[in-house]
Amino acid sequence: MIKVVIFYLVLLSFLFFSSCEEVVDIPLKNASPAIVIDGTITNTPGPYTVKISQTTNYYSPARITGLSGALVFIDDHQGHQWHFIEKSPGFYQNNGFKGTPGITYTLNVSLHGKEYKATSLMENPVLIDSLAVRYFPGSRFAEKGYYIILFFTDPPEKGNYYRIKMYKGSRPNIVIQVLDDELANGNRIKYFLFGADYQSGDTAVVELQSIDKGVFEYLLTLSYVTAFNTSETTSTPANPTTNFSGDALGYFGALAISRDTLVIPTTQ
Amino acid sequence: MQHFIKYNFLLIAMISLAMVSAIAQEKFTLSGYVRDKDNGEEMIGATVYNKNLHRGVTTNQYGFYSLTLPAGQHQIIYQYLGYEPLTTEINLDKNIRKDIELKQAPRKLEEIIVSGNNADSHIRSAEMGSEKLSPRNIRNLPVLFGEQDILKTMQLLPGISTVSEGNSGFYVRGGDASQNLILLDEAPVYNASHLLGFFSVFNSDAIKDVKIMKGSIPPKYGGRLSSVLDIKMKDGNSKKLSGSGGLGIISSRLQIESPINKGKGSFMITGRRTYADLFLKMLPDTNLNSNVLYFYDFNAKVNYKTSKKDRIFLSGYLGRDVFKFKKHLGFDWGNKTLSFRWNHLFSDRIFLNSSLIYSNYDYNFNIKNGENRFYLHSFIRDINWKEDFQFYPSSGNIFRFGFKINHHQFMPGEISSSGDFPVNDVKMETKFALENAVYLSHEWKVTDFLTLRYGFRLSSFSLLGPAHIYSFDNWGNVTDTLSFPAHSFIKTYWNADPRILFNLRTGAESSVKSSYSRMHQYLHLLSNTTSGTPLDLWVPSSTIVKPQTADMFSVGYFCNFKQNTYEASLEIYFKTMNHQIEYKNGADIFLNERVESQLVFGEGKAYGTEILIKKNKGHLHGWVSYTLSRSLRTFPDINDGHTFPARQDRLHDISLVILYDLNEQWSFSATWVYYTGNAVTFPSGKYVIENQYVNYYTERNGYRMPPYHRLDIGTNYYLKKRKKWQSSFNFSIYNVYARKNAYSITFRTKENNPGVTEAVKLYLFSIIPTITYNFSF
Repeated sequence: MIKVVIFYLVLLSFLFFSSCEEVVDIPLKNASPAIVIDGTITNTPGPYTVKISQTTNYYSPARITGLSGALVFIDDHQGHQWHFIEKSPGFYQNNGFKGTPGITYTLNVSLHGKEYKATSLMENPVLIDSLAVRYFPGSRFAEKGYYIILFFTDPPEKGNYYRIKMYKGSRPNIVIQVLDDELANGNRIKYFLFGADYQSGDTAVVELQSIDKGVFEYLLTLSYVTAFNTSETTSTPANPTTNFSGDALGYFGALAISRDTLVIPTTQ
Repeated sequence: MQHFIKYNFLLIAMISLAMVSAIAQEKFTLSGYVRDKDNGEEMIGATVYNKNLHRGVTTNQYGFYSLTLPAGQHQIIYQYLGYEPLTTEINLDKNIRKDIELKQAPRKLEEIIVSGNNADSHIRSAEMGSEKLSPRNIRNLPVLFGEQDILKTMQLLPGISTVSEGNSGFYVRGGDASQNLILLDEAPVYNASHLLGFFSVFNSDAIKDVKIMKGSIPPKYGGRLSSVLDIKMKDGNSKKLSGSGGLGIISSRLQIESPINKGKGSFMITGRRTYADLFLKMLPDTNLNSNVLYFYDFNAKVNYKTSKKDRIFLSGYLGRDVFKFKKHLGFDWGNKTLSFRWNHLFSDRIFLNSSLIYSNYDYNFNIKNGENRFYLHSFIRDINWKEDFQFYPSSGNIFRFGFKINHHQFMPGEISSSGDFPVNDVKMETKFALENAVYLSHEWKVTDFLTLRYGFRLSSFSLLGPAHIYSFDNWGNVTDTLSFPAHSFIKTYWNADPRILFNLRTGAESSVKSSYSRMHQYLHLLSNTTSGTPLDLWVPSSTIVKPQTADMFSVGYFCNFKQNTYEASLEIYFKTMNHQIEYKNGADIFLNERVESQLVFGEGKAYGTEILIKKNKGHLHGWVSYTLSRSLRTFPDINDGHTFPARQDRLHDISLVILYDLNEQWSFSATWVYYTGNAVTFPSGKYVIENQYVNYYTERNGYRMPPYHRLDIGTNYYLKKRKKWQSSFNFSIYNVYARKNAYSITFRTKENNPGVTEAVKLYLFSIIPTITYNFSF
């Protein structure tokens, strides 16, 4: 919260000082490609996907370069293994199982003689109590529109981590919002969801994902460096803290999900 | 400890040697104060010199001097640049107390000077890597928004560089901004910036003298690695009631000074306030025009001579930044300092200053919305007791010794809330620490050609209870918690810092100096932003965070030519730093009780060459400074353990300052700066996660911001003096050729097309003209 205020202060003082932005041409080095693995499973039925790709040059117009021919499977440390099949280049899928809270899963990927592993514990889902809707008249820093308030109750023991994902209909909002219970353990949480830009008649879907500490740290550090993020205040960006071993970028998450839906009313 | 004993031996040997030579012949002492004739202000660093014997001394920080000479007739010269020299004949047949008043040289063009020091003192002094500035001498320089700022002027000197555009924060010789000790009348100032660094907390009107020590730091000072910035407030006019002030486009200031009881004492009070937020009111946007953002500050000082041998000073500073958003949100922060000092002369050769000092920095953040309330509060508080002796046993010998006891208190944060806020009340543990030091130094003019200054500072730092001390595993999880009761000593560090300097005269107008110093820093600033945010978090040394140490070696050549019209120096330094601090990736330092688990430790090294050429006299004067330097860091946990450049690593840094006095009415000035861009981390690739681009980083600080350069010009027009009222207009143009210097560069997707990534530069100031009206009476 206070970080938001500082950011606002910085913005305001820049405004004073007539700051301006312009696109510039900065030559960048071309790093040798590195492997990127992005896979999640949930407590709801699949299919689950694992995407394997590689990094590209910063100014390259290519969207994504999938990596083919990888061996991909998940095991649950209790003798079960589920293999993923390549559906299109770099796009691996399994439709044969459903995640169970309390179980620790490991994603194994081997490609070109190298192995990459990441482990994630599926936490117990935390239910959404309710959603509410408010109208925001707009300001210089945010568009006018409706925003959602999410209510849920944090379990009594400390160490719960959440990711909150918003959808407009079936379209996900790309803003990464994560939350821990460090300052709010055991409380009934009232969480304001900005940035989704809902208008009358939209169907708002809110997903509350219970995540483990490793996934939380990954998503938190990811949110600092996504190309969408325009924060001026972070001084030294770095790659997000991955839960993969073996020099891979990306993460593997076992997520416990609860959802709620709300249709934005036509009148205020 | 072994080292410590060795130094003691050496010192005792040296002291006895000095004493022996002191009693060989009948001698008497000439002592007193040197003051300004117009306002009675004591002059710091004025020279008292016996030409025949080549013996001299400079006045101390309180304007006091003591010179012991053989009995007999002596011709003594009192000098201070910008003042008319005064020569007196003295028959020294007993100890003589002589207070001298020097008259300011009229604003005659031949006499104009830049630095506030004696002509060739930089050759003779037992100091290196130190610079003096006095606001009186820099008031003609062009400034941003019409606000003279001594910290920004200082950045035009070699070895001192700015944190970022328009910022009063500074780096010294490759160290970071928190490694500078900033003292205002001996009180430490923890956050020296207003409005996120665009203004410093030091109002030039209230300041008498500023000295920055970046090289060989005298043993009297300690506690920071890079530099000491010693700022002295004016004592107040002891001759007559007077005042001064200024009206600017975003701020105004006013100062009143007056004698007390016929010059037995005097006082000074100064205030200023910005009113830029009034412009916000003119904006149509209701979300902006209901904001409040301003700062104010007050300096006040009073002094009184209680006897011929005693004088007391009480000085204080209060500054506050205030930000309000509608009626719901308030945020304010600032410093308070209070210094009580007592000068006492035990004899005409022993001067003592006793100080009691209080310093506080705090911030408050609150949200109010009907019944719902949220409040956050944090502070740092210091209470300090110091005794500083100066002993002048004979001419050519000065001993300085004393001690300091400093109690620190840190309250990292306390949250209380009521109503709807889903936040628990949190009170972070307040931390207590004790930082003590004793020091001794001896300045010894061994021969006419060799001067030595050596000494040591023995310091201790103790983290005190009550406290909970955590141990962590490699992942930052708590493995053990120990509880300590109140007033218990949890962890104590002892360190002996040797400081040595010699000055070898190589000719009438030149000298070679060399020095070695060791420094320790026990308090560490954690901040992951570059602008001076109010949310500074200082942590004391503990079982996990070790004191930072630095060893610096420097050598320099100093010379004057054309009868001290030109002054030049070249200094080379090499510095190593241990136990430097950085964050782990994604560290959360805000309100984190276990913040120490978020830190990683490493080493640093900095080296460079600094050249300064000044022209001190004439219609046209000014200086050029050039710094060639590197600053590197090595952390096992950062950049795969490979050495990387520190953010402030700047290969080239050039400043050019030109002042031209046309006549009694008009003066012109220009400054030009150029420096290599900061070392920064840019992406060397990108990839896709969750259907959005993520920047791919391969090395820490592997890129450079574009080079920075800027020209400012200014002119002062002095109006005719009317009775006592003297006034002038200052016109300044900042960034004359409107270069769009990059403040930051971000790599992000196009606003309307998330499929394309681009680099976007943010720049703050284009060309900015300002006008200020200054007056004095």
